[in-house]
Amino acid sequence: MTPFFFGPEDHPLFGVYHPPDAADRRAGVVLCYPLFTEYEHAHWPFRKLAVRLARAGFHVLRFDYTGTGDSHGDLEEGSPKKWREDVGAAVKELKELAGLRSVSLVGLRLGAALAFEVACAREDVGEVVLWEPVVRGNHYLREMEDLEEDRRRWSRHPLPRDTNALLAYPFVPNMRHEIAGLDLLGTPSGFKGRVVMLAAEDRPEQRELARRLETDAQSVQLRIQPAAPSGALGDEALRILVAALEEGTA
Amino acid sequence: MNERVEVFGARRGLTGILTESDAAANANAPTILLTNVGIQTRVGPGRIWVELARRLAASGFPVLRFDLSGMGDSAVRSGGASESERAVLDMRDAMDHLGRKYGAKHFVVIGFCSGTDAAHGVALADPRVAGMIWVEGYAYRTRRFLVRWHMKRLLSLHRWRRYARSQLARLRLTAGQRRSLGEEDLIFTRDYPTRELLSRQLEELLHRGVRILAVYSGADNITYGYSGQFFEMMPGAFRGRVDELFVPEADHLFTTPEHRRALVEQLAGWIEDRFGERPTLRTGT
Repeated sequence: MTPFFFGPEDHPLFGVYHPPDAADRRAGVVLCYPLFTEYEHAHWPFRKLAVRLARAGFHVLRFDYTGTGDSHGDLEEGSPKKWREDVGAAVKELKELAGLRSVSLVGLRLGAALAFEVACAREDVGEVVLWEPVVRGNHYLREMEDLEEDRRRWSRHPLPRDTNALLAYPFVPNMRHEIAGLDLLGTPSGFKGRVVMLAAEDRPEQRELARRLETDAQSVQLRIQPAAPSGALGDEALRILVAALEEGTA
Repeated sequence: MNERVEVFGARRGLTGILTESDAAANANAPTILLTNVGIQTRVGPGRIWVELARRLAASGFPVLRFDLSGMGDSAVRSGGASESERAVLDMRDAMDHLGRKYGAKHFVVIGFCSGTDAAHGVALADPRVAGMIWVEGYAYRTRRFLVRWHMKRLLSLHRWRRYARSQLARLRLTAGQRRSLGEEDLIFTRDYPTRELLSRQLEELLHRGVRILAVYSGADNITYGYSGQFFEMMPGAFRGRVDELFVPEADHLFTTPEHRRALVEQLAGWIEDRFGERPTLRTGT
């Protein structure tokens, strides 16, 4: 694997490129991390997923959005609009690195919402894998706020309230506003490639999204896989994701 | 600000980011080494290490944030060494690499929570370490701590509410879940040096001229509870020789952004005070 910076010189993004570690499938996958505390939990499973995909012959790029991980900037500068541009930059980078005409996107949670919106807006994304997707941004914010409330309730001492922060991360008004506005059910899709959705719980909004995508997409697969003891990001989920992407290039 | 990837160590298995100022750096400034906090990557909880690296680089201190072997983006180190031995080997690999490539001669190591083991271990093992910071490092209860702790618990409405909630939540658990409650504590238990051993080790470091800062939070801490506890928790006279910073309002990982920003400033300020001088041009190779 090769860690490197890419993108514009004044705001480089950090990425790790995993070249194929088996017969080259001539297929690439860009991994889109979740954000905030979920990023911290996802780093290791994403590394494992990237290694497994490389062993299955894929070119893989995982990268940090602006203001996250090792990439340029502060989180306060970020917003879904900015992060979608970053996904676009990562797609371009992987295509150039591997000499490919199109790639697949795999996104987890908020990363899935970003991946979906980018896939709908581009011609060079052949498949999008939505892993535990955030379908509605306002639901996601509510979940974060509930977790923040839990954190306060169980803390040994009262914690100060910061209206511009949630779960240890800055949450400035513009970012909050844009996240609240995310709604995959309201996004005109038109995506013509393959869609795979993987979730541990069967939720109505996922079914509704799958139903809507069927109109244009080449195929839509909704997999409900109850979380194994190792968790929703465990080995079983990784195995399903690799198999789904292999199927797409078979 | 200049940030670049550094890949180094045995079989180039270790991965980190070197942060330096674009223009000026202090030729004699130590390089700061930051590693994992718990199982988090080199980014640190709430991205604290990124913020600290950029803040220090702006003051002329190069900073390497890297993943210890088997964590983040670093490869597993073979050879069968224990976790703490591996951490020391990794830190020395980082120093060797920076010495060879950039001429770095001395270092300040910062350990946060379990990362203290790596920082403390390499400080003892390698004379190139000129400074050491613990954040939420080794701590031992004192009699004064226990008195204050019990008084605070008795008088805190927040704690009584929390206790009632926890007892109610416990009633809803199955017998198996109740039994497993203690297992988490076992997993996260670390071996501390004895008070006597730590005292001797600190004397050794001070004798070598190593500057030491120990930082403790208060809000979440069940071992450390008042300013000055460091100087009462082990044998030895360290007052005036080791710097202590107690942040009563912060929780263990400084999760509130305001506390995190303040900690970054405190750590950078201490390093500037202890190791700063007028910056001069410095070039890499």
